[in-house]
Amino acid sequence: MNINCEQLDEDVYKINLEGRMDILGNQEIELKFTAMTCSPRKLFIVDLSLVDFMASIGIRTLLVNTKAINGRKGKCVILNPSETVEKILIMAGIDTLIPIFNSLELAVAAVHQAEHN
Amino acid sequence: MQTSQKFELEIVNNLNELRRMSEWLHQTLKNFNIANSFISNFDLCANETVANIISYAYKDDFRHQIYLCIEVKENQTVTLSIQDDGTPFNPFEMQEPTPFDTIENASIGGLGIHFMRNLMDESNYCCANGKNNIKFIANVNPALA
Repeated sequence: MNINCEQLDEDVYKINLEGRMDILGNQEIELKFTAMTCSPRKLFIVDLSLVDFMASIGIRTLLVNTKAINGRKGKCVILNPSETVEKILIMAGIDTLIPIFNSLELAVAAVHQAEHN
Repeated sequence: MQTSQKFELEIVNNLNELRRMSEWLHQTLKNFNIANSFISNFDLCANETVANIISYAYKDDFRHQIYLCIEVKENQTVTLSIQDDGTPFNPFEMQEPTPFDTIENASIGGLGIHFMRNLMDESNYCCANGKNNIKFIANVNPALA
């Protein structure tokens, strides 16, 4: 599994994930994900468009890191999951905790708005 | 008389086997032109089940075999059976996870079993001759995809 981070503006970072987020894929990106989302960075968009499989272990990684981000008054949203992955996220109830967007512009606006609330 | 075809795979209790299992599952079901959404559901249920078995079912460090069987019936019903010789454990007796309220209180526990229960038309467990047997059954009619 691959992971990289790009800075979209002064405050917003986009984490791009690619591959199967199963137990093996998760092992490959877990520490990097945590390092990329650590302080002082606060606003994140997690792009799942190239993730073709999501197991509960992958959801755990999203949840644990979003908890840490929220704990320092940051915000994390999910961008463009495939239909299959989105179905699993919704079945897990994750969409109620980490909003899902299908537009980068709306995702950027959402994390900026959260920063000002 | 209704005909069916069976396909079997044997893996060992090593997490690296999960990818081989998923590839076998995808290849087998793709040969029947089964919709990707159904294949993904079987893939997820198999991954959650076998990851649990490998991680928690064995009290020793020995090599154990885990047997998988896919049965495709003419009426477009697919059954995935998973058998292991670990500690008896019925995942379907576990409580459903509490729905999330806030992210601070959110707990990930039980999510895999939640998927195993809800992605299939039928999921069941039995223990016989010292073996755990889990079955996942789904109607894969394209009209339902």
